[in-house]
Amino acid sequence: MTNAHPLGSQPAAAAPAAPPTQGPGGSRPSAAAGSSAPPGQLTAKDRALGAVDAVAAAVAGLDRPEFASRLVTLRRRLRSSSCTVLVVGEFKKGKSTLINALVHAQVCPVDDDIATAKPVAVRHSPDPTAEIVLYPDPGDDQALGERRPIPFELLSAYATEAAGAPDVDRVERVVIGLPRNLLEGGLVLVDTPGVGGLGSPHTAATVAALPSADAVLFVTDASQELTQSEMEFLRTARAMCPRVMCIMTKTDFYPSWRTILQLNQEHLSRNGLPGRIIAASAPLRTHAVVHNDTSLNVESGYAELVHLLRDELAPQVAMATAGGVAAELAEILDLHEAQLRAELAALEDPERSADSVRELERTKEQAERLRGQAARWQHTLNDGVADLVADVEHDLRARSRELVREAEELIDTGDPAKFWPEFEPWLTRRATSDVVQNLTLLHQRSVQLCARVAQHFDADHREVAARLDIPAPTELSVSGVAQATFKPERPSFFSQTVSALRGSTGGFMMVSVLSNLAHTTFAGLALAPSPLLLGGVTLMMGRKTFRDEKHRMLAQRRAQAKQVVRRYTDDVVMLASKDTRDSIRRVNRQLRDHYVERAELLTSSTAEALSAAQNAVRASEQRRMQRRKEVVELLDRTSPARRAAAQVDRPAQPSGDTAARPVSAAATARGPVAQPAGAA
Amino acid sequence: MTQGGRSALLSRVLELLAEAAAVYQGTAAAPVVDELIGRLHEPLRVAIAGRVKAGKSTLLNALVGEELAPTDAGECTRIVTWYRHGLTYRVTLVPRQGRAHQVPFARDDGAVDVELGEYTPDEVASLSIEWPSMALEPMTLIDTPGIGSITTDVSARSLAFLTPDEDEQPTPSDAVIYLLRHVHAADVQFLEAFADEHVTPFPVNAVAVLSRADEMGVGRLDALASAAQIADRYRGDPRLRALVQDVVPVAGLLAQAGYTLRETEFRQLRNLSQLPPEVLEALELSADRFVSTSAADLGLAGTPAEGLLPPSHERRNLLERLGLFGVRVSVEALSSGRVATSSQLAAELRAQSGIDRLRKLLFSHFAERRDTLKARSALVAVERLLALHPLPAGRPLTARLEQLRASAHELAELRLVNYLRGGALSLSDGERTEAEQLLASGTSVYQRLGIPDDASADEVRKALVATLNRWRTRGENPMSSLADREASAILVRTCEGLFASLVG
Repeated sequence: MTNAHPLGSQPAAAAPAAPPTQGPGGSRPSAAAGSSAPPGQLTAKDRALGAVDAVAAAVAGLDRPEFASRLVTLRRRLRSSSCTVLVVGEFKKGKSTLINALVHAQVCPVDDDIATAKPVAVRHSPDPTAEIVLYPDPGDDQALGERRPIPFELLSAYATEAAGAPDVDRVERVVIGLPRNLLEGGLVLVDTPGVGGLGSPHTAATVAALPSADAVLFVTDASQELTQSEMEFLRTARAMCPRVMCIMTKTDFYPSWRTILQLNQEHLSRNGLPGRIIAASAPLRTHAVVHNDTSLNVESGYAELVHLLRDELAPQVAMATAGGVAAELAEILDLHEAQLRAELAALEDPERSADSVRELERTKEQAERLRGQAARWQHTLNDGVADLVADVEHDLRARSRELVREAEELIDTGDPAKFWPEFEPWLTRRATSDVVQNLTLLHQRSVQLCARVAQHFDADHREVAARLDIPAPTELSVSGVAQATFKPERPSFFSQTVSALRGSTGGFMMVSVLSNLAHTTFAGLALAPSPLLLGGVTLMMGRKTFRDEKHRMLAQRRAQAKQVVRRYTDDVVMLASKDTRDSIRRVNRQLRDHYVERAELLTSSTAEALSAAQNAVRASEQRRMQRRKEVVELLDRTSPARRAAAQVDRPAQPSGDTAARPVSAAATARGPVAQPAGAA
Repeated sequence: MTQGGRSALLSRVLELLAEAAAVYQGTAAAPVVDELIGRLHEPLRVAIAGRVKAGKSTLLNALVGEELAPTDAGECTRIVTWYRHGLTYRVTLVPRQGRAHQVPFARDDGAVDVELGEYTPDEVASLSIEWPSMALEPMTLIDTPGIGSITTDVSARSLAFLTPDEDEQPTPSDAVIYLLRHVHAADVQFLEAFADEHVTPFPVNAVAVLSRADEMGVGRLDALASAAQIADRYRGDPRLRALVQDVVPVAGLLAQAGYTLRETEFRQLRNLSQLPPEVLEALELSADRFVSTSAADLGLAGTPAEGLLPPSHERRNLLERLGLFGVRVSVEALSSGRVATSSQLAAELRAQSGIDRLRKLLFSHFAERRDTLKARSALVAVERLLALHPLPAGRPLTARLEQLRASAHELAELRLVNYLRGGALSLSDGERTEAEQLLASGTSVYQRLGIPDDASADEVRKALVATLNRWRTRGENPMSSLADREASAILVRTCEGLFASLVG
């Protein structure tokens, strides 16, 4: 009978994860079940890669290693580009089940009680893989965590609270690779530990990860309407990540899910959040995939969810990345052309070239100033970083002082030996909520700093570029950065900088420090002379003496409790401020590197233009004529690259779409030969 | 056993109260004393606490075995409501100001719908519903409004300490059932249920119910096994240990259906269970499909099985009454042949729901300790009375009270149980378990000593002597803290009491 229920057949986490290579019964989900290939037209990423190649070809004529290395970086950024979607929500709302149903494999451990403890990232790979990523060495904030492959059977041992795997404490996250069409476009789904209100330690880790995500799926279920704490988390998430989507799970089980859905939509719009909620049922989805039932797949809500992820979010994010790359390509072309034009001018009119050489010399000086320590943007950055550190730390200290004060007030109202079991979670909660708010402040202020630095750099950069006769050169390249606020389509560089905010010790250390109070108990401390004594001793001792003794010991317990509180808050503040400093240092370094590199490109282009102009003046008439021909040719070669770069963030023509479709169908042929079993 | 000793305590308290009644006769405090005396003769008072929507009213209905409390948000759930046994159906309204009086009521689809008249819910202190029900004879149930909205404010002011100061307050109820929801231990809401201002916590007679247990596995047939596991984990949590005696998973809807299952519903379920398995699977896929799938959708049109499918509105009713999980459990029990009749199905639902275990806990464990608790509450109340209304004639009463409190071993035991659960003593886990077992009045001497039920009298005596000596040695250890030594002394006395009851 159990097997008759698709619900009943879901094994609990104790069962090893099903081999993700094959769908049940070997049947492959149909295209309608939401796992078909993305439309076969050229993606933004493909177009951007093509544009990089075109630009590489265009600039190859001049010996500019800076351009070459810049292009390598851009190519790498495009290749590794992904759309990271954090799946967040409270405990037991079906986050892991949601991901499993999406990729149709038991990759995220699901259990009725044991919760996910480590983030599990599910991404595309040609073969199923599973690996753990360890925390990087805390001493070296450049280091990347070590990666180790693990067998699928150990997934739940590493990813859940059911401890037991070796080195589990050092694991930062688990990474699963699956051959799924849904993931092919770079979509990475990250299952996170449940947040239990803004106060639970796991929340701090999740909030810290928010800025690095491209989108957030907030999971709630149909058992009840959104709670106050869920709404609060949503607001926080919204402030730190521009794309937040709501999913309501378990609609198969709760008959009144439509009422809940409507109530939730009202809650969202009342709070100024986008009211779209996708109602989803994992059992229906699984059933639909197993039985290849298209209409059931639609009913399960997963058709819409897949559409959202694959056809809305992933392309949006890819477009933003590609757009950022296109802007940088345009800048390279601008510089390249400016250099050629300067040379051409000198070649064509040697009489006036002395002037233009002087002009170029001045431009070069200016460009060098932009690169140097005295540049305005450098000041903005240095001062901004100092202010940022000071303000964020001040905020943290103010919060911790207030926390200690409140805690001491509380301790004085009762007997720590008795209320400790309640006091302890309260303290953890308060401290976590403080850390989360501090993180939010850090994020907001960093974003503002990025924008300010960008603005100052751009202003000066534009001035230099104008001298090089580059028409409105920076308009494209930093359109996003110059905006004081985040736009959903922010350039990829920006999002990278912001993800640097994520502390290296971040999540785990924070969680462990925040929760480490749990190991402090009052066992063995000055215990109550206990009302037990009321029985025997009172009569002998006299009530007054007894009461005095009782008070003395109570005072002692209170003093001890206060000491514990202070030690704990000190630990939290120390770690949080170290995290803050590390994060800010990373942001600082990334911003500086980025702008210094751009300033250097500008400087070297000016220098090259200058020396080309000087050479032109010195060269023989015949040599000049020959060189002129070459330069004109080189200039001509840039126009295809221009076109390619300009088309990157323009959606493909509809005609290309229809033409491409048959190709995609062939590429994902459903025959068992063309496709490994279940590689949906 | 200690039965004699216990009633001795209660009768001594009654004597004390009689004296107090004589002292305060004719004064303003006289009704208070009368009430205290009346309380000692009442059945067990059980309060149900927890958040709104945690399933309090459903659980209350399951305990009464009737759909008395309105299960959706009605007026009654906003007011503390007492459900007592009575000879007639009667509802009494106790306003915050003014005299208690009877009010008219109607039964709306089973639930009692009270007309408050000119009072708003805020002006009503409590409602008392008297109902001739067998289930209410041994206990009075108190339905509390619960905590309305989640407090998001995590500042100090919102934190009221829940662990009681045991010698300071009287308890208006003899036992408390806290409804817990399934949340993570680190969750802000973990102890939410205990912040209920309507009940005075007293851990010795408190039990936590993991409510909505049928939802733990989102309707899988093994959901209740999962719920049992979760309850096990909760039971081990030191915070809960300090607040309640036990954690029991209960599927309220299942229990309620188990007590109120109608013959027509049984017939519909039996018909459903006779449908072919693949049809059932399609039908039970989701709540939506269960209600709206037609015979034609299922390919049943024109087949003999068509008649077995209840019409849509009947299926909707089944879903409302049992939930998807209840329907699955019933259909599975019927089709596997484990149950055949309506009463068997009802019993199966009750057994699966966990309600039986809760009842057992309430009636054996708590009822046994009730006398001690009542005595304790009465003593606290008398002490308060004496402090508030000091009379020269009351002086000897104060002395008697002090003497009674100091000499009553049961009260010392009660305090020790609280201390043990709070983890305040530096005993090892093994010692603590042993001590708790030993103090668990209401269980057999075998259980208290942790020996098999079929042990001979000689074996019992041997085990008892061994236990007694162990605690005596523990108590004489000069390295032990004062509190530990005192605890040991209490346990030694408990052993001596057991010994006396064996010999006597």
